[in-house]
Amino acid sequence: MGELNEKTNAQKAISYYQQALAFPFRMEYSMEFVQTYNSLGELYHILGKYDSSQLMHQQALGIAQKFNYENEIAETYQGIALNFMLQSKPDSARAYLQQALATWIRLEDRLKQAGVYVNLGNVFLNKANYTEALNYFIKAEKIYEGPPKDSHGLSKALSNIGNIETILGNDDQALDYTQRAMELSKEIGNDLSVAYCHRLMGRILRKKTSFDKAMSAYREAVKIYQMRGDKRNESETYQSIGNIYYDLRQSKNALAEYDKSLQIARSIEDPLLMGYAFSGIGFTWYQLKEFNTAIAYFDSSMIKAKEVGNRYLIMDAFQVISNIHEERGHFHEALKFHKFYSDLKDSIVREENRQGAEEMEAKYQNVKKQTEIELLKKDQQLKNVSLQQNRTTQTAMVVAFVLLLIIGVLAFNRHRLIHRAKRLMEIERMRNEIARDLHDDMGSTLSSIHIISQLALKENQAEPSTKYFQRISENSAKMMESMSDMVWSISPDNDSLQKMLSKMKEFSAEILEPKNMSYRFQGEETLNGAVLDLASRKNVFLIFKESINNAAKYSEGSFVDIHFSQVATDLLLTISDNGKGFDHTRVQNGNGLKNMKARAMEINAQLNLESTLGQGTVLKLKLSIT
Amino acid sequence: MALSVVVYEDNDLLRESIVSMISLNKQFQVGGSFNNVLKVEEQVKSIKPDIILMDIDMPGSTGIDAVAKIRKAGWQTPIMMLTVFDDNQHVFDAICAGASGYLLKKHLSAKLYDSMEELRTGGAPMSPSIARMVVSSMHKKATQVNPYGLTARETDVLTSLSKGNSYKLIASEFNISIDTVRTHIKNVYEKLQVHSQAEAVAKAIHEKLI
Repeated sequence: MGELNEKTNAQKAISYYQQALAFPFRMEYSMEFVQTYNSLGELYHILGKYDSSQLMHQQALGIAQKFNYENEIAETYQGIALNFMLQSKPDSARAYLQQALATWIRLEDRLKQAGVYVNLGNVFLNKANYTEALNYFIKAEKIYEGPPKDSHGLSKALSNIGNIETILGNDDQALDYTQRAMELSKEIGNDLSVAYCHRLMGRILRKKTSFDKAMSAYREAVKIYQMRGDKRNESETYQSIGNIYYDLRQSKNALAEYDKSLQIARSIEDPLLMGYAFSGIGFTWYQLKEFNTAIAYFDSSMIKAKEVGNRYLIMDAFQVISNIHEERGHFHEALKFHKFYSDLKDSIVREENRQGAEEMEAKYQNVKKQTEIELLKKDQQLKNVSLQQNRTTQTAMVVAFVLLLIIGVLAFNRHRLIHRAKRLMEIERMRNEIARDLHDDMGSTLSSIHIISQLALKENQAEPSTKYFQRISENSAKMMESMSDMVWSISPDNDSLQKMLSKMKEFSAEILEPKNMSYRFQGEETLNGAVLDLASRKNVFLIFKESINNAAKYSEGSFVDIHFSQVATDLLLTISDNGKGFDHTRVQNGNGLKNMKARAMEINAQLNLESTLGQGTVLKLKLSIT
Repeated sequence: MALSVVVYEDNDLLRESIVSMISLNKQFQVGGSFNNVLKVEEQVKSIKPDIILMDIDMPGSTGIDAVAKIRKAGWQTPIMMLTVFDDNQHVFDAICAGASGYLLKKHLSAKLYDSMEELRTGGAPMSPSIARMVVSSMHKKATQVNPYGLTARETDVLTSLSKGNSYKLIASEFNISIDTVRTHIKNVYEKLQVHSQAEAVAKAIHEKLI
């Protein structure tokens, strides 16, 4: 559907293709997607909407590359190249065409290669490098002539050759080629090619001063372009018609045609076309001796020509401006511009010669190396295959190695972590076990020593040895107590403050209740599940114990107040009794107090003991917890 | 008539000390003392003690196994566990297996007589650590609402005890006498054992041991 419409109405076709776009999208037919985008791209550049065209082609290229459709990638390159060509960016176009050509050569698609040759020919034509252009067109023609013969391509190649022969001044040959191209194009119903041939004929006939024939040929071309909506070619053809009027010295008609061309060139933003239109208008005003107007137009023409790097237009402008100055008697200015003109002309000629020489050399080398290239190509293919394999193998190996490494590191880390955790647990378990076993055994023995000493005391209270038994009894009891505290403090089960509080309460009851002292715990609720480390737990508890023991043994009071509070990360413990208090100076060196201070130091806690005779004792402990 | 006491303790020195202590009190007499529990059933059967003192860790077979065997054989003799630690899972296990109470070894010389008397009258004390284990084992058996069938007051007393409060404090907290606290604790002991034994029987049936 789209294909059919492309020939008649590009605009209509675009809407069909856009509808078509939705279809492959739904069906996830990426290949159709690429082709549709490319068709859209071509239609947009026929309409002179180069940005839209470029966008479509880029979309196509993205998808084609993603799925590695080589054919479609090359087609898209050509589409992009054509787009650049039409925007008079021949170097960009050439770069894309070379890539496309490389692909077609690799895929051994001769027809497609010929297509690219035609495009390349056009690129060089655009750069005014006619010999190189002719070379490419001839390459294309050879392929198209077959077998198998491709009339479509052949007509295109022939007309292009005709064009260049015209430029090179070989009018008869040019006419011959163009005639053949025209016949072929009509045969296959290729409007575009027919129109082109008409224009070419017009050009040749103009050179042969058959102006009427030339004019009617151009008019034919314009009809076709208007029908197709081909702005660019329409614009170009108006210039050609303008040129004939110029030759016929019908200035008004010429200006009208050039103006038509310029309007279209402006609408499609084609600087080269604009440059030529300006140039044509400039020539016409020069013909009319309106020098200032002419110079203004040639200036504009040069600006546009410089934009696209077309030296011929600049050369023309220099020549005409030089002539104008000469006619006005401004010989100095005239000479200056003539010098610009001749320098530019020389450089173009030099370049053409150099390219010609290079081409001769290249052709010679080409023949010599043809077989070599064939061999190399085969070799390259083999290399490519093995390189591909190597690369695949290498990639696989690298990936496998990296994976192995990662797995290894992870496994090692995991193993190490597990191992360390296990070891820590093992150490913990062993430590507990040793402590408990030791204590179990020693506790039993100490217990029996304690019992025996008690028995001895009961049995014979008058003996002088009593005081020794007393000390044995006391010390064994003390040892049992401290061992039990040690085991309690190292057990990880007792990390929480709650457990410590419970233990403290139990101890308080055990010590204070037999003495008929009451006690009160306060502020437990402010301790929000804080955890104490082993050292803090042990030392805080032992300080507490010492303090309660002191209260029970020495204070002679009736009440002990135990107060906890947590302020930010500080734990505060206050133990106060209502006993008789003590004199600091006299009790300073007591073992119990010294021990408490040492324990507080050990855990970086602040210990403050205040006592006044007759007013009880207050112990304050401040400890940073996390 | 003096009460017959049998002592199981593998530390010879301690065993002899305990025996000496018991001998000194006219209320008690030593029915036998052994350093292992391998023949516990025969010994209990022949001696028929009034009280059994049982160490937990002993070579060959533990005190907990011995308690289970005695109860399984149908003897309701009060059994007091002797232990160095009261925060030991073993003590809790022993209670569940049927032990009537426990005594810390460090308190032997001071509390042995009183403890045996309490045990005989059914008022074995319970420490906060053991109370905590009971409470936490109740939480672990969360599938049952009240796994041991404890009353609300028993649960309150147990919870307060687990926080470290003394019998005296608990009594004042709930406005009850210390004796009532003891009774609640005694009931907790019994319910723990009943429950644990029921569970043991069910398990035994399941495993086709009976």
